[in-house]
Amino acid sequence: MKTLTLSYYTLVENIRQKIFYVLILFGVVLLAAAGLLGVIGGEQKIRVLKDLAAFATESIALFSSIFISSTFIYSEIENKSIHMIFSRPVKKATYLIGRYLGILSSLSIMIIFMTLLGLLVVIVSGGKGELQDALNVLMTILKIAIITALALFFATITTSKITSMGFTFFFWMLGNFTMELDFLSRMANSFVLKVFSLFIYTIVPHLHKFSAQRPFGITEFLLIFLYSVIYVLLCMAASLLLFRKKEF
Amino acid sequence: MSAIKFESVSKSYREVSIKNIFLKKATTGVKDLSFEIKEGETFGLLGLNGAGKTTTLKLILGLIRPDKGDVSLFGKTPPFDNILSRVGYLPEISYLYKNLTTRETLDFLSKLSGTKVSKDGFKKTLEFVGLDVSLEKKVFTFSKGMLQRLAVAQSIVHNPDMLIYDEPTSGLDPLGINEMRKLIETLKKSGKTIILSSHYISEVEKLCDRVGILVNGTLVKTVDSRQFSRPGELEGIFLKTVL
Repeated sequence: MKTLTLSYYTLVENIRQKIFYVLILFGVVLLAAAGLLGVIGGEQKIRVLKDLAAFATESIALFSSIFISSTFIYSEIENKSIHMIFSRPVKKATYLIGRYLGILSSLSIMIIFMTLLGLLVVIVSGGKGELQDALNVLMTILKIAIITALALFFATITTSKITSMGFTFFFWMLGNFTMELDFLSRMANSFVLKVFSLFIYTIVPHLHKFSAQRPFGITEFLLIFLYSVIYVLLCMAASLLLFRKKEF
Repeated sequence: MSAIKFESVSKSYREVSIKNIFLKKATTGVKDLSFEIKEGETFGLLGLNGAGKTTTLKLILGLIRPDKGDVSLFGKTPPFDNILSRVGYLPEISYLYKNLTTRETLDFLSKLSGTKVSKDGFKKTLEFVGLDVSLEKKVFTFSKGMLQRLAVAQSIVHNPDMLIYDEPTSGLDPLGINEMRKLIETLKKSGKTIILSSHYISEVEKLCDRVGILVNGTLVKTVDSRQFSRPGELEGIFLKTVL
């Protein structure tokens, strides 16, 4: 119940933040630009439009996730509003999960809103929505679920907002190159490099598998969903282990 | 029955120096603190800045853990968990959620205390603290005095048995200070246990049954209200203790 209260009010707080609207506005501008760029797509116009819209949605959601998740807990600790929460019978796990779900719901609303806008651009351009597009949206939400959990984890282990944002961004980048990391770990001659690349390959989220650029079936989607759930749970468990020791 | 009991409690804060990662500089929060507050009592904590008043309150609330000794709240040792639903806390600076409305703020914080309060309940609480605003008014539009009243409202909205107030008159104008004092007096009369931390001696003198004086994290003196029955008497005791 308290988890729901925390997540609901996190969602309310987030969607009333000015930065949230600024990011959505930026996304709308990107979608409009996608509409213009789609014109040069020729026969592949709708495909180009869809890819550009998906890219705009994902980029805005990613930056919002990194920014909101990395700064939320810091701000609460810095301005001491966290005292109002932990002077009440609220467990640290309840707080973390509540905040996580609240941030994720606000970002999901943002993704759905931007997807609908993108779809509108596609329909106006003579295209139509497909099941694959819906799966792509779900993939983006799963990616953001992972990035949000990672950002919360880094927010609990680092001592500044910038470091936390930097680490999350770095992991996101590495997560898109996991195939290359895998290749490196298999091809490396040096034992140290092999172990190191294998270690990085294991801990970074395998985001390339979430790519919206290729078609995928329900089974693959379910496997990715399961992977995301496990990754998020591990991140949250690690965050909680560290957060439990935190004093305010 | 004792509402709060401190037994030889010490707490220090450690900061890792950037110049030398292995050097840990410790600052004393409180040292060997022992005292007891009975249910229904109004206890004042007096001390200069950095004397350990806020640290003591944080230890009561379980926001920080003691390095040594035991703290108990209504007979329970940390983690306090559900026992905290019997406590209302007013921090020195109340950073309320500026994008929420008055109703949402009270709803959010009362639910976290484990109590569901009706809209009428919110109205009565606001009336009690003298905050005459619409329940749907956003917090960011509030003046400092209104924010302090809302902060008091959130501390009593779930009808707790104990109130912990850290510098409740900080930043208020003389009229606001007077109103806050009356409010605390009313709460005291309703039988609530109140712990009041302040460096305004006259405020503590008028409201408290007992006063503890902290110097550099140590409780050096506890005085009973009978010892400061005349105005200004407590100030004399305080100055003699801290100087």
